Amino acid sequence: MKSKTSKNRFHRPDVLLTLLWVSIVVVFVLMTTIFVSSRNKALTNVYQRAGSLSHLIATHAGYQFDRADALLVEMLDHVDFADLNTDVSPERRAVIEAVLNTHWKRLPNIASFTLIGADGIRRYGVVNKNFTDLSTRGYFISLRDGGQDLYISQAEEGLASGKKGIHVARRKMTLDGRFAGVVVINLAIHDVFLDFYKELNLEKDYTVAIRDVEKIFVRYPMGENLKLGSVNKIGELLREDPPHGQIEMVSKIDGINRLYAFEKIDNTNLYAVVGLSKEVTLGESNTEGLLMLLAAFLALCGAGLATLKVSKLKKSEARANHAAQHDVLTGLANRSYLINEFEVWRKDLLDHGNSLSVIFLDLDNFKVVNDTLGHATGDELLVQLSKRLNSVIDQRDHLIRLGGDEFIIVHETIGKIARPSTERLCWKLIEALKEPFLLNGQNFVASASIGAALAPEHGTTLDELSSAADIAMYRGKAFGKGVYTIYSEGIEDLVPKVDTLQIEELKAAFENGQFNVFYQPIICLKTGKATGLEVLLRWIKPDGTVVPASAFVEVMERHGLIVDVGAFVIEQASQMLARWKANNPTPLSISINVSPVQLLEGDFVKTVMDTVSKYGHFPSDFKFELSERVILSDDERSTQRIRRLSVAGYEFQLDDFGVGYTSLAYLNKHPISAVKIDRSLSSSTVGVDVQLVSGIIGMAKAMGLRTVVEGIESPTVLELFKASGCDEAQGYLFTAPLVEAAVLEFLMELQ
Amino acid sequence: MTLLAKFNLPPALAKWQVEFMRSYQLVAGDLVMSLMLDMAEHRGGLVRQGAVVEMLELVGISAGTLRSAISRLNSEGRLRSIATGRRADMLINTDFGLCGTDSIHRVYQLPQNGWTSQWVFAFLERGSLAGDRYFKLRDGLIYDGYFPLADNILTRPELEPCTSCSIEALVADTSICQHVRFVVGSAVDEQQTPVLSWITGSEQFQALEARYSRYNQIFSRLEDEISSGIALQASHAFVLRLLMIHQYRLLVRDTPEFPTEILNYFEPLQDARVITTRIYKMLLDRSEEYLSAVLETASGQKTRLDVGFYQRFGGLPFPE
Repeated sequence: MKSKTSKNRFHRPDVLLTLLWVSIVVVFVLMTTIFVSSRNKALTNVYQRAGSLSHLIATHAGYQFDRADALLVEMLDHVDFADLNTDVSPERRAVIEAVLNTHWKRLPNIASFTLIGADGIRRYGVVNKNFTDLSTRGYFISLRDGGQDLYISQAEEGLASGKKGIHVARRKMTLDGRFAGVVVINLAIHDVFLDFYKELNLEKDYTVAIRDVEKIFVRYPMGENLKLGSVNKIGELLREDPPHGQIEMVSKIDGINRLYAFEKIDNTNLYAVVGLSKEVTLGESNTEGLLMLLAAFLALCGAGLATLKVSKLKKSEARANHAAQHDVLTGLANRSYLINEFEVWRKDLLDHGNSLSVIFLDLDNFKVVNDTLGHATGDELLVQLSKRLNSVIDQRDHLIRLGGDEFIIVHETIGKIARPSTERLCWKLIEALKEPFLLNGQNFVASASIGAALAPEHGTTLDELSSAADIAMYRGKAFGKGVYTIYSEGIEDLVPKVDTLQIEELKAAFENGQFNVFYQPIICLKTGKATGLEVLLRWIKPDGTVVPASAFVEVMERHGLIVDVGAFVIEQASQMLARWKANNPTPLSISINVSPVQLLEGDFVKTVMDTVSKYGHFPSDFKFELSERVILSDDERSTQRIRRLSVAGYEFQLDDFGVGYTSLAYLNKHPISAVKIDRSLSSSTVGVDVQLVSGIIGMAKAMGLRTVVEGIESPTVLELFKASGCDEAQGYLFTAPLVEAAVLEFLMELQ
Repeated sequence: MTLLAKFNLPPALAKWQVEFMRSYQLVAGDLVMSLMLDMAEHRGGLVRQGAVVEMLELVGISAGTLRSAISRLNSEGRLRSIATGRRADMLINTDFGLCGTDSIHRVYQLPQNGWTSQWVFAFLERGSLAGDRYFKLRDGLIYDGYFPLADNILTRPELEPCTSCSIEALVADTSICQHVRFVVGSAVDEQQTPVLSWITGSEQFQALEARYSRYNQIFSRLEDEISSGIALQASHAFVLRLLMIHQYRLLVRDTPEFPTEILNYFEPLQDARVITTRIYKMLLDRSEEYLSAVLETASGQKTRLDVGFYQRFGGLPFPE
């Protein structure tokens, strides 16, 4: 009732409209601010880009002028006054022409290379010899009459080559200061400059130019020697002789408004100028801004319309509600939909003598999928998973994605007893996930933990039932993934409160020394002696509750805490081994579980090697247990790190073998030396599949792998594995995991 | 440190050795990197430091010089020494360089087809980086196949698919993009592209071409000598392979990553690859004999080649 009243209050037109108007004004101000800020950012970016390009153009032009000038200087060294101003012998002439030709070939795209006497008469040249009088050329007059030694012309047609180019010319002076002539190179503007500017292939309406204060020498597009009429804004800036600069200006040539950047070309009075059209480069952000403003304007209009059409609001609200109640990625109903509809379903079912159950499904190790295969692949997995779950559930059931990798199924059952059909559905869900998913062309096997709660025996409200299903699911996770668990009274006591664990709690526990290392001996089945210890992490809470690592390792992986905790485990185990070695000559190996996140995120190789070396241990003292997640992820970095440690002498074992989908063929890709047969295959409660066990051990042996069986609890099962040729075993039959002092005592007794 | 080395080679190669020594100066650190990349990378990357020192003593480098070179490489992050008991392992850092490639892939891979006709220009923002980091970034771009047109402008042809260092990856890397601005341009004519003229006309490229010609001259002679049937011990084969791959690696490192469309115009570059491949194959079995005997980790474990090694140079003969 309370919520109904509140809903009605918000449907009152006056309140609604006031809220609408306030929202619109806020949105309008916000959009304008965003627009101005993004526009300034875009403007800076365009100027920076134009600046980089003007630097490129200046470097290119400088490089061309320098090379041409180097040839001119070299050529001038080869000739003297007499060569340029008198009739020389045919032999001398041949020598000079040979030198000229050799130099010409060194620089591609020279349209002409000419030596001119003091009278302006062409004496030597590499192309068309018909033009002889060059005394009227600008470069000749400038060098003869002016004070400078080097002259760079505007683009002009070469009389000898007929090609338009920039003339780079140098004068020859005698030792007594007489003008002896000029040597000149014509750099073809198309081949040397314009083709290069064209290759930049920038956005529409860009322009590149070489210019001085008054004149444009070359311009792309549109050619050369453009008459500006008067000095433009850029020219005015260049009068100050700046090394570089920028300006916004409308071009006098084509009327386009551009953002220009310019840079001085080394050793010249010329500048490289690059202009990017403002409309083209900022068009996008303009459009965005206009769209935003337009959106705000439309919103205003909408508000006006809303005033007139309040009655239509409910319809659009319903549509919006529908959109708000479905998950975008998978198209499934979301939490909001579940909250709104659950009460209707429950009432309908219970009132008609039927029942329902709530099934909570959580994908195991989804974080690792995202980390190793990427978020896009993770999303793809969720989509495929949704489809598969949909294909398993009944038409009457409701599948909801809560978020992330968590799903809820509300299962409707006929009759008052919900357990059998719920169990059947859970079993079907587990089975359905055993089929690999095809992700990026590769098979990927996922598993999920499932918990279920039944109505009315475990609760009647959504909160009660989902909470019970959640607890059941975590119970399953804590004692092995890929299983389903139905809630039962007292299950909370068996389950550490992992659902409420936050990373801060774990960090604090780690910092406060609440993480402890336990050891479980591994026994050689031939000798009955202990060959090693498996290191197991436990969280001992201040109230004495012992929480196994499986209950919180995923949270640590998600937040990267596993890297530090993993290093702590290696350190503790190394210390313990050092103490053992100090008092006992019997060799003992240490087996440590390694998370895929440790391999990916930490400097794992260095941590291991530094720690092991610090205590003077040998690499062969350590065995690392990998889960099939590592093997299946096929991550190159992990593989490389495993390989490096293996090469250094560390041993790797595959953990929990026999229940997942790790093919023995996969093992060839990794330096695995042993497989640990999963405890579920040695469980005496469900019976041991002798054929399967023998098969696994036989295949492993054929591949040269040792076998270690976990979870041995009865002598009968132990004998069975012994008879099958298994090498080593561990389990409660020998001892539960022990703290260091106790395990050392155990080992001493065993000896 | 520059070395005047004296190699452990058979007398029949004495003349060749003199020619080699006249042409090249060996730098201990570079030589260590060549050894690690060529001989250790496909054996797990981990080698006992003492083993490397013993091996390089065969090329006439003293243990002291080598140890100081290794220490420098450690401080630069190129190598990592890891103590194991009283010994130390060396681990090569292949994550070095912008794309973690260190140009090594170009030494062994066949040149790629598929130039997109585009040039990528990289502009380094000098002001935003301290001197040392600036040069590291510039070197990183050069290792990734860029050619320096100027102090702070580099360019390379964009290849498709770009297996080495794609422009998208670089642009997406914010740590690089803070300091480098990329501009992509399209060649007007693949055969007459002014950017290529700029590259090849530069003194730096012409010097590179001259280095290639010299390399071809020296190693063609070596190929002739080996083909003539001189008796090579396993250690000789190791020394020759190291000297060759070292010089070739340095050449490739300084060469822009050209696709075959461009490479076709540069015979010395193509010839060098062909000569190197032929000699590498000729020396492979004998040199591997030596490496299998001497390469070990600090824990004394001998190492084996992985399958990826045999993909070098378009496929090496797999041992029977």
